[in-house]
Amino acid sequence: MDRTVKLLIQRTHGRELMTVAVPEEASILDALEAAYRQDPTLMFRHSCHHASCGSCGMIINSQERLACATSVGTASDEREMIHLEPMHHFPVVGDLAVDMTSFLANLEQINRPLIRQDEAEAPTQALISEGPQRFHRFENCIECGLCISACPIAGIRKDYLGPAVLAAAERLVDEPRGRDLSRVLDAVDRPNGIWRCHDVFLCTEVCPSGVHPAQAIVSLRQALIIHRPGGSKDEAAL
Amino acid sequence: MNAYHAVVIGAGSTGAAIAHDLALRGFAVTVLERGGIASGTTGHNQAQLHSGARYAVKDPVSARECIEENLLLRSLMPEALELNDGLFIGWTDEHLAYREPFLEACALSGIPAREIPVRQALELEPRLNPGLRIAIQVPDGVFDSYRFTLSFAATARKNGAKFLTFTEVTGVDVQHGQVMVLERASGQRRSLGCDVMINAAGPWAPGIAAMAGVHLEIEASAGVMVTVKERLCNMVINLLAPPGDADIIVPQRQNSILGTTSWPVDDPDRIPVPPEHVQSIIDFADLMIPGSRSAPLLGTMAAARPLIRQRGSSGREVTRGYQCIDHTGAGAAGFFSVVGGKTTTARAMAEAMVNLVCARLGLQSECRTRMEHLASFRSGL
Repeated sequence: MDRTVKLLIQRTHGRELMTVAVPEEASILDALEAAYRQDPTLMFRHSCHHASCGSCGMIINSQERLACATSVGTASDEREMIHLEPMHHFPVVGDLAVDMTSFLANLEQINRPLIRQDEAEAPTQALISEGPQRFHRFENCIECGLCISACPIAGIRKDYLGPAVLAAAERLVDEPRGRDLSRVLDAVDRPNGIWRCHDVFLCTEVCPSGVHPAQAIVSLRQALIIHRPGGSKDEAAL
Repeated sequence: MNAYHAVVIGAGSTGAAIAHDLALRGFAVTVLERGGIASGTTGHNQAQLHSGARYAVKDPVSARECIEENLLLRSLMPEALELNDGLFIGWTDEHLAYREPFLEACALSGIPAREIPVRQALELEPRLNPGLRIAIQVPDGVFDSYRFTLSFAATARKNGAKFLTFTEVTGVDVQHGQVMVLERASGQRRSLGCDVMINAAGPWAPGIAAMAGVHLEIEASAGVMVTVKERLCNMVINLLAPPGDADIIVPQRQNSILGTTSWPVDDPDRIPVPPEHVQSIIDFADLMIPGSRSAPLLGTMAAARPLIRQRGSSGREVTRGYQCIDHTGAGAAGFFSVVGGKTTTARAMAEAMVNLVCARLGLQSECRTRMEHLASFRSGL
């Protein structure tokens, strides 16, 4: 049995109500794809449909969510209405698709490795000599930008690095894997970096991937205070 | 630079890899994609970097392509891959009987495969069915299909290729070398001139070919995947049996993707997720890894594989190999299509496609994508 869902979408040209029929267990993303079949100009990003690519972040009933991991059932209000808006604090490319370029450039600057050693105890015996000697997996952060959208500071300071970027720096400090940390500490130890956060913790609340950026920011501050008592100019303290 | 402008239709893994190859060989490249990057079949992906072992017995050509690309991609895009190998597991007499043909076929296709003691397998993967009687380790891996595609796109862009996303192809005029598009952002329609058109639209390729007046047949075979919010295993877990439904568990990041199924579909835009498929996938995963059933469900998805149409075979029997087609003979000079293949073999498909294009144009130009380390996926968007 299909369910009728009303999507109130904040499009580039204004709000638009679109009505679609989707299965009971459909996600918001499934509903958007049904809406796209009605209007091929509707813009939104999506790829993996399983909360891995981080491309379908948007605001669903005032809350930062991944459209693929939010079911139409949980998101509908009593009028079966779902409000969809593009993420805050990013330039809008069109409708629900936003421009991630400068966010991704900030992440690239930190350059945290994308692979982490897993928590698994057992070492592997790789079949191929270049294969890994321990199990490993992708870092938790899927770089979806939801934490930036939820952060009130990111809204008032356009140059603020933001939670995901600071959390990436913290991962690197926590597990340096041979990297030179001074460059990363320089990048975050500045007014638009680690010290700009006001401990609102919404980043952790909206993170779909268990990164806990707020926790990471607190840890990174501690690390900086220990490593650099004199502040960013005191290179000798490293 | 050569003097040719190539338009690639589709920014899935194949289209992005083709753009990368073309750009390295000096083409001016424009990629047209109706959605975002990897928003079609590539995105809806079980994410298994195949060693080829799954296909070794029945489809050795595809198996060899997989292992060759698997080994190459390890150095070309290390950060888009989780490399923890894979296990083929079994617990019945039938599974044990498959051991010999499987190991023989892997050896023939050059796929490293080694049987490991059951006790060791259970140490590596403590949650496997405790009735386990056989485990064979192969160099399977896991990719992030978005980053996989973006890595090719990023490198292509660095070398001058343009990616026009949210730009839907609405018409193709082969005679005059024009592609008509609808820009989703502005609602504007316009046309682009080019010398070569490469149709890499996956299951949508027959529709694009029809716009060019060319008949292209594929076997669009849909598959359901179920993602659970728990990493059930370290390695890719496969059933030691001929390829069938629901017989693979792919761990990725903190989740696991279970699947899949296979049935023919007509419209790649309307693929249902049959609840009975979801149930059978979860049930079988629970047999391979008891407890899979109780992992929280993250979501379900389905996509169509654009397989080569072969007379007399369907679904699981159809080769996972690929085909590059020059449509000159059908009266569409300058129009090319690629069908079949796997995400794992995207680079090889691109190499074959661009070789075919160069041969048609009389260009002497060597493929360089085997050596070219890919740029960070972050600049591919």
